[in-house]
Amino acid sequence: MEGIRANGLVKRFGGTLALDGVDLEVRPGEIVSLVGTNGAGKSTLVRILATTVMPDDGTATVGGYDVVAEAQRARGVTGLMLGDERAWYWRISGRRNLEFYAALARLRRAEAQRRCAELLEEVGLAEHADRRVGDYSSGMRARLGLARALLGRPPAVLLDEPTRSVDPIGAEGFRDRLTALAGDGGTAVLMTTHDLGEAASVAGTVVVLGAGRVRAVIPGGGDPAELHDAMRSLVPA
Amino acid sequence: MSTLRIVIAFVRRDWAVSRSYRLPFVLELVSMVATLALFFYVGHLIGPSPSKGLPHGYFAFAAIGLAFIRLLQVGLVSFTSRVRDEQLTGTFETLMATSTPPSIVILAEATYDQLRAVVGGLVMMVLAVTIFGLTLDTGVASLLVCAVAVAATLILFSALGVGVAAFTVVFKQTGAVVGLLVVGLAFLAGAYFPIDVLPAPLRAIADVLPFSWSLDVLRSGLLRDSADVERLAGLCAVAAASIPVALLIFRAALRSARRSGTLAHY
Repeated sequence: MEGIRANGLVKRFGGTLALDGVDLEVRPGEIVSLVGTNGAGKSTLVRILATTVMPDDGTATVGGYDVVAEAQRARGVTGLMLGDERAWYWRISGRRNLEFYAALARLRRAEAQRRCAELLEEVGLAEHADRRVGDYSSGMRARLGLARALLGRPPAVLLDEPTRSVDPIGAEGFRDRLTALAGDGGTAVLMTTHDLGEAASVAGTVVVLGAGRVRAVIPGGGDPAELHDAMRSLVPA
Repeated sequence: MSTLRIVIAFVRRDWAVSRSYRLPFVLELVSMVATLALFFYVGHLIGPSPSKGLPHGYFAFAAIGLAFIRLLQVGLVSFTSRVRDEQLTGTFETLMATSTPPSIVILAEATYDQLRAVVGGLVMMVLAVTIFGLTLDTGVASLLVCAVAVAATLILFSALGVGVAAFTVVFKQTGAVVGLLVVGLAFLAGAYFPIDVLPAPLRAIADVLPFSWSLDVLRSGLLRDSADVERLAGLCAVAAASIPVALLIFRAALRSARRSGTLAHY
């Protein structure tokens, strides 16, 4: 299955040009980190790929499906974790929340229960699975968000600042999980982050976005200072 | 099968959320009894008046109207309030990003509320019979006619509700519109009084509204042991045609929100 591809994506919000001809490719089994200053267009790009925002121009595919013309099919092969930790039903437990989304991902009841238990264990929430989400910390909700993104074993995963509220040890576990997903599972992973160390360490490629354009494409595994310099050059003195 | 599983998942979710708030169940029951008592005593003042379209008395007329209003409120309010809740909690965007088609999501969103409204309407009728001595025709034929009429009415109100929810997707706050619609439709459908007492122009409008057909069918079935088959058929036809139209409007609203990038806004 194909990974994630964007060609010449343009998006305007009123007079603001959020994306100005963005090209991007994430191959199966690859992790691409998207970094950039606030307002660079990272979340807009993720939302276009997740089909919740429509581009004004350009094309994008996830798993080979066009995110506009074949949006429903594209959703079926995409795991999504947005930065919004509120996006849960706070009065019910983490397990019930996940099982609800598992049904929406077309898993049968028994399979859904098994998959949810497995994912809760993987993200370190097994002990807290039956507590209300309202009682979770924001880091725990972020972990639950990763579990939700992986429910249907999607071949492509989009993560918007996934480790923003996660503690350092949890974040390390998060990165290990992503590496395993891409390495063993062949999943195409696109994640946005403000943590340059994380971007450099986990990704095969780091894409620097600035004012809606791709400003630099840097191989992962390098020095975060190089990324820092690339970003610094985008900020007016 | 998978659509049914999704609908059940929504019902289970909403049941779990509702159970976490216990007081409303009790308060709802108390409120039903209080409302019925109010109309029971108003009925005493009016008494049976066949010339004004109240051959079984005002209470019998109003009790069915009240049960109808429950369906109306749920049909109109629940879709838009569910969408609004999802917008406020941030879950609307995540729902719209799942592989479940939005048309199934929006219809499933209000299933729990609709089931609750039907049960609530039934409980209201039971309370009206057992506490306030209302006499209903409970023959198999009239119950069957009423069941079909209730189902068609729910579908019709749902279509209207989905249409209003579409506006909520685009304009976010539509509470005032919904309130106006509930009052306006309850007024024109003849929930509280026979439409015969309305001025001629309003009566003409009320006559062509399928909502008043629904009440006519329910009242004739439950109070007079007769079925207004023509109106029932008309009601079913309008209900069946209304859902696809409403879903088209909802899809257009989603497209507009996706285009303007406001799907996640509230």
